[in-house]
Amino acid sequence: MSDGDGRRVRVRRAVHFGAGPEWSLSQVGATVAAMGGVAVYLASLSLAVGGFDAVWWALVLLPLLTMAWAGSAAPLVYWALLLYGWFNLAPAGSFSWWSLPAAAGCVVGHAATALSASLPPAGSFTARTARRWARHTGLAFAGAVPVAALAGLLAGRPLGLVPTAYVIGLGGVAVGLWVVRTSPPVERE
Amino acid sequence: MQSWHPHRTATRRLGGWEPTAAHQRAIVLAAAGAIVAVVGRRADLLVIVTPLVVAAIWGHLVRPRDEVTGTARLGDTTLREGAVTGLQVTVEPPLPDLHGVVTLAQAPWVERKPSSGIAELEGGAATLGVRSTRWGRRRVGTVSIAVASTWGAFRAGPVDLPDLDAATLPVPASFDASAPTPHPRGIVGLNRSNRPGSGSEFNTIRQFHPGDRLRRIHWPVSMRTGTLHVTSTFTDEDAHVFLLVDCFSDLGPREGIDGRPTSLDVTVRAAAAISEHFLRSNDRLTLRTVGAAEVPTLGVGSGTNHLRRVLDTLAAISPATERRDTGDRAVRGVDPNALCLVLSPLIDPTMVTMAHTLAARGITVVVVDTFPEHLVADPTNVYQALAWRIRLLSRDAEVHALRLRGVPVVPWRGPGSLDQVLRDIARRASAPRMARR
Repeated sequence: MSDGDGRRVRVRRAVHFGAGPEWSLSQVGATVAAMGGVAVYLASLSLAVGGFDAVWWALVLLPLLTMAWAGSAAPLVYWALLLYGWFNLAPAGSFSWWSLPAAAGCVVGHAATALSASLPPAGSFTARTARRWARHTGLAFAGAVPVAALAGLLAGRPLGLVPTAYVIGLGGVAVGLWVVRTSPPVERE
Repeated sequence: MQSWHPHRTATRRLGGWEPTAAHQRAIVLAAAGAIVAVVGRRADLLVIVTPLVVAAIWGHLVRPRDEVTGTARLGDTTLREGAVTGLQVTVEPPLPDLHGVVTLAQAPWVERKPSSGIAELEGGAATLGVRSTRWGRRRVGTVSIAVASTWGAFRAGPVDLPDLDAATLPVPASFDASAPTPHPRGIVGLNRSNRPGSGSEFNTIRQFHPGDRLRRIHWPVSMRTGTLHVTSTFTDEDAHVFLLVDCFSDLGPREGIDGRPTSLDVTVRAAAAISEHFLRSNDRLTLRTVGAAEVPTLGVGSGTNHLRRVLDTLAAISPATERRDTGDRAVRGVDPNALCLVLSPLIDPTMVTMAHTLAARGITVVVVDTFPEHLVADPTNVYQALAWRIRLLSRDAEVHALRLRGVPVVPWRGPGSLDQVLRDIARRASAPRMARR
């Protein structure tokens, strides 16, 4: 858009939900991406387990309902619920390749919510920032591909996987604790 | 004159890096999901949480260790009404993949560009536009900075930087006067005086005296009479203009340069316009204010630098901050030959009294009425319009009393507002008058 002098004027568009604060289109876009992540996850779960009650599709709206609390524990709660849904519906010992798009939905939802939380409601981010976050998300998702390939290879084989899985899981927990350690340890006040 | 030191730069450390809810979410979901997947033999659940594991570890490994300092710098600390300046915000050291946000809080009569006042830090720097819409000295608005690391895992801030402030000079209204300024007494200037001397205004043709310039010789008359004659002129001199600004009243909604003016807006912009006109004509000018506290006293001066000082003084006005001011201090030591222009909406009785006092001293006084007409013409509020009409009736009586004393009261109309009254004053000065013998 240009003004009367021919100069280019950047128009800022924003959305109001009732009497609430002003939301930039970037924020709305991040929320839509988070909803898309949940939708992909639910679709993958549905295809993996052969369907579920239609009312659970309403969970797609959770990122929209909690967009004002993107920087709180609300996204953790609903993603814990979604992961529990997979745990509950998928049979033990099984493997579905639909877990790969579900992983994509999960990481997209996480990244979109994290990006949304790093800005005030009326704040916008540039296309360059969006591309950088998309690149990081893609790289994180790439980590799921070899795990899925390995799980696909080992699925249905009697390899005494449970002890091995315990070792891998405990190793993961140890690595996680090593990563989140503080050095020096934080002193109690 | 008191010095004004606006804060142009503000710097503050943003504090330590704290893990965000997003990072904690990634850690909790990744760890819990991995354990549940292994214990519950759900390989696909392990696949789902693997990207979260990557995000958590990535965000943690690349977390910034250095403390970050934010700096905000205002492009100009002296603006004109409606002018825009840049607010440059930088973060040091510039870390890779740093994602930050700068927020400029809303402040009265400061427009932010973008209008949300929020800008994203790109490469450790962000620029916001600041437009001042009303004259005065004020804070620009609090700048707040928050930065986040890769994956939004760690955050520093938001931290408010110390306030920046700027002075906004009034935009002079358009003004021009073709009438001469009365009582020129100086040695430089453009006003025609009554004394013959070096100037541009024709006086007469007289015989040549020793000391006359050769280029003044009038050759046709000299040839005809046989003796040398020269063209004589009136000397050009400067006058002293004394501006008295009423700061008691600021009537009307304060809408800034883009809206309707208040009475003080009209007064200040008129004072700026009159000052600009007379100072460009090399006249001397004094500015005094009544009813405003902490306004620096400005002496007599002329020229462009003095105009800048006048505008600075006008920008320092805070309306009605000295209600007990009787104006005696402002009119102390006024040059009796000065042209005294009283700019006032004539609502506060102090200014009417002062105009009477100055006229009683024999000083040439002109009252410039700066009452904005839109106050009484507001059709949305009938009762307010009625109240104004009643108040203006009593004001008319005061104006009439001033006119009876010989003090002209002219409404401010921009260019040519003072022409007629200045011509009348010049005519009155040259007219025969009674004198005691």
